[in-house]
Amino acid sequence: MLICTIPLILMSYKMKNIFSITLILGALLTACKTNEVTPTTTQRDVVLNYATIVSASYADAIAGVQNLKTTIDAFVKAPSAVGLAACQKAWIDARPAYLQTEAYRFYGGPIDASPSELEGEINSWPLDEAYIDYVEGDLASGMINDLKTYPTLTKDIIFNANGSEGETDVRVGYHAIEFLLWGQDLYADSPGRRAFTDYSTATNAERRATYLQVVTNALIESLQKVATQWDSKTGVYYADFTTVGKEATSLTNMLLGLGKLTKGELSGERMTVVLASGDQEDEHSCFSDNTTNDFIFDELGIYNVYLGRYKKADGTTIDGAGIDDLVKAKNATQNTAMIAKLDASTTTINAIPKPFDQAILNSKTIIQTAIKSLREQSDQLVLVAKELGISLTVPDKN
Amino acid sequence: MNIFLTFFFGSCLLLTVYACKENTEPVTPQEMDEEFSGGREGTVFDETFNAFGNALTNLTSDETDKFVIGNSFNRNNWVIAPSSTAARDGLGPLLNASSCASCHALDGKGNPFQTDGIGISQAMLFRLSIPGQGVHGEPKDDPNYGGQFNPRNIPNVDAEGEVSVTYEEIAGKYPDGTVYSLRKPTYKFTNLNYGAMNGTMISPRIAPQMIGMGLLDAVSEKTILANVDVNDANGDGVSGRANYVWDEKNQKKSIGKLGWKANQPSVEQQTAGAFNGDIGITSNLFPNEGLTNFQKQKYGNFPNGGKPEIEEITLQNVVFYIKSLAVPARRKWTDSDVLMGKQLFIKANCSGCHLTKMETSEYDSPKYLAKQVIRPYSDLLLHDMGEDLADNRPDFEATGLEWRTAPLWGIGLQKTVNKHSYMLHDGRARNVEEAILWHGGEATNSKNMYMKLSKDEREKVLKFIDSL
Repeated sequence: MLICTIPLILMSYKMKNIFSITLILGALLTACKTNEVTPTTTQRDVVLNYATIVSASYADAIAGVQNLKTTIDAFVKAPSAVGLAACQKAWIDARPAYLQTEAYRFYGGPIDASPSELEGEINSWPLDEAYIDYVEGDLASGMINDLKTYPTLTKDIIFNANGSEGETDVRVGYHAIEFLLWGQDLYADSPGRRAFTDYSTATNAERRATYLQVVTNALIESLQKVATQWDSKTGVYYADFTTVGKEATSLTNMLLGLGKLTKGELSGERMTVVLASGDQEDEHSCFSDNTTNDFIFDELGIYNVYLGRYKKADGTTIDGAGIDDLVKAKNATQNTAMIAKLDASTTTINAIPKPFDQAILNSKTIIQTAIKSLREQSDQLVLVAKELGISLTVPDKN
Repeated sequence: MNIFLTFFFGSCLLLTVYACKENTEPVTPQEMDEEFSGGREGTVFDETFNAFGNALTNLTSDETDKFVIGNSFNRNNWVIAPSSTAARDGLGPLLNASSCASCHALDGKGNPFQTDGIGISQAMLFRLSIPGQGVHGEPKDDPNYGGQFNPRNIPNVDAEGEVSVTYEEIAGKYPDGTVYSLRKPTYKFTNLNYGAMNGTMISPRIAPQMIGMGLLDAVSEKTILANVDVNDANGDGVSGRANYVWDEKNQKKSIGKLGWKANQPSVEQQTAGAFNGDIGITSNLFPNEGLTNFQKQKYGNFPNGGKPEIEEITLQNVVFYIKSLAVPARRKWTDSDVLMGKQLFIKANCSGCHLTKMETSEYDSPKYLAKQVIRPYSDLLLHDMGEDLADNRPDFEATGLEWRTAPLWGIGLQKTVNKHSYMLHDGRARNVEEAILWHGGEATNSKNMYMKLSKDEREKVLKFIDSL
């Protein structure tokens, strides 16, 4: 109230007309009243809390892949069916934390910024299976089986080859590991069926194990490169993102990331495109049939950012200033509408039957409902951005 | 507030508005809708790195689906067959790139050089031919390397070879004494795996931005021909000829509108051609891999990604996507320097070829492209651009000296989207100014007029071009 009173006195000093004073008093009182709902939440609070959540979720993503690495190392030492299943479980367990970080994509942040383009090393898709290992019809394909060109397999050698036949040919990242654990998914009713003997008695088993270990280690390193930039003490990007005076820009980026993940990526690339192509394996986690989890945890990541909330892998929760607090202060109705859209998307996504490659064929209407929810979620994001004075354009595709 | 005060403030306001108008009265007034480079339907107001990637403004929900699907197959990489992602396999055997977007980055103009600024990137390809013409008037393929050089390959295939470039700096001087330097490229092909190139004609081409392609597709033959002046009847030194090229779908000769030498009749043919030649993806329109007979013998039995490799409906979605890419609106179109620059641009008759305005014809796929007043700043015609810029390789009716007037729309956002400012067919020009200075042939008069301008005036011309 103190803040409101001072300008009022200044104004009244200048104003001679009682009527004007009354009008302005009324206007100011109204303004003050809405401010009092959440007197402490500023854009700065929201930006800082977002950065804290980003850091925490990348830390969880790294921990997940470290656990995967430990499991893989043990499996490779003594290959067994149980060991391979444990690796597959560790891969699936590692995904949720990373997927939630996808809400920090699409605005040129550390995950996407060139020239390093770390996303390409981490989660690129689709995969050139034949650049990595044998495929149906060519048992000699891939770096693993090419002893002549690649007598040894090291991180440098694999990364130099990655993208050598075009900027987008993919040999590393989560989906490369997925392929090495499951193998090609050539089956309508199951994920890939790689046998553990690929790591014991099969041709080039040792090289396959080396490749798997190298790309798993590399994935940890790539994730660390992203996390480093978000470090609250030493991170270059963190410093820039949280610069005093840049809050509106950072907030715009946060919203742009949410909008682009919602629309171009989830509803567009990962659902509309797959549905239209009708190709069962045109899904992002095709080897493991884990694609519905991709949707669920991407949406959770979006929800996290809006609420300024994140449930860490250790079970504790960060719950700080969110975009919702800013919107609530401006227009509570729009905030309620946003939360309703986020809830609707969460529900419709969870309703998609697993596995996704079966749902494409048998549950088209359910997927179309999810697509519609997501488009509405994106439209509502534009409206809440407007409440915050941000003109947000969410392109149809990324 | 009393009536007197209201009147007083009102008068002040009016006076202020009037005064402003007086002060900034431009030399050439802006034209109505001038900022809508792609017409009312095809213009988007986006100055960000995504400026070339937006859809036409009024697509329906179903059309947006097609746009999104087309983008997916344009953006993502194609993979080697057989693959789990069967809709996206069939890459190679020989190729330039594994996706459209790897050259047309963000739907924009590819950076023709690698990060070191020296090595040639995949965004620059080399058309090859030997003297003579094929049955439809097309260039004759090189017997050992086909119609374009493929420096990349899938496993167990030999790439065609490597290519590198060196530059010779050529010093020049404006009449006012300001010096400049242009760099002239020389290309060298090495590690050739399929024999020698004997008397092969080579034409380097960089991947241009894809904005407004549908709008250009919708410009009628009649509209294009209206600007033809083969014998330079109006005596301005500018002739302008149409190219007539083989239209594979309609099995007849059609006017060429697209491509550096206007050698493509439609977005559909250009797209299917690029899938085939650049990525090694067959389609209904081009069902055979672009291999020489020798290469066919060696790689013909490799697994393919289906027949055709890109399904017809997917190809049509990609074509729809490309046709639906809108053009970014002008920036600073009311700025007085920009308006002065425009006047100088017109006075030097740059607009003789880089036409300021044209209209699209009836069109139905999508319908939004019809009857749009657009400002591509091109006449879509061929012009002799002089010896220095010549590729010396005929392409249908285009001679070795001729190039199609490159559209200028979006040129000012190239730096924002693609982080480089390389211009012309082979990226030899490092910025717009150098591109102007490379103009010769029919453009000699215009270039000379530009060179005679004062430094300040030249900057205004560049400011104007940057606003396109």
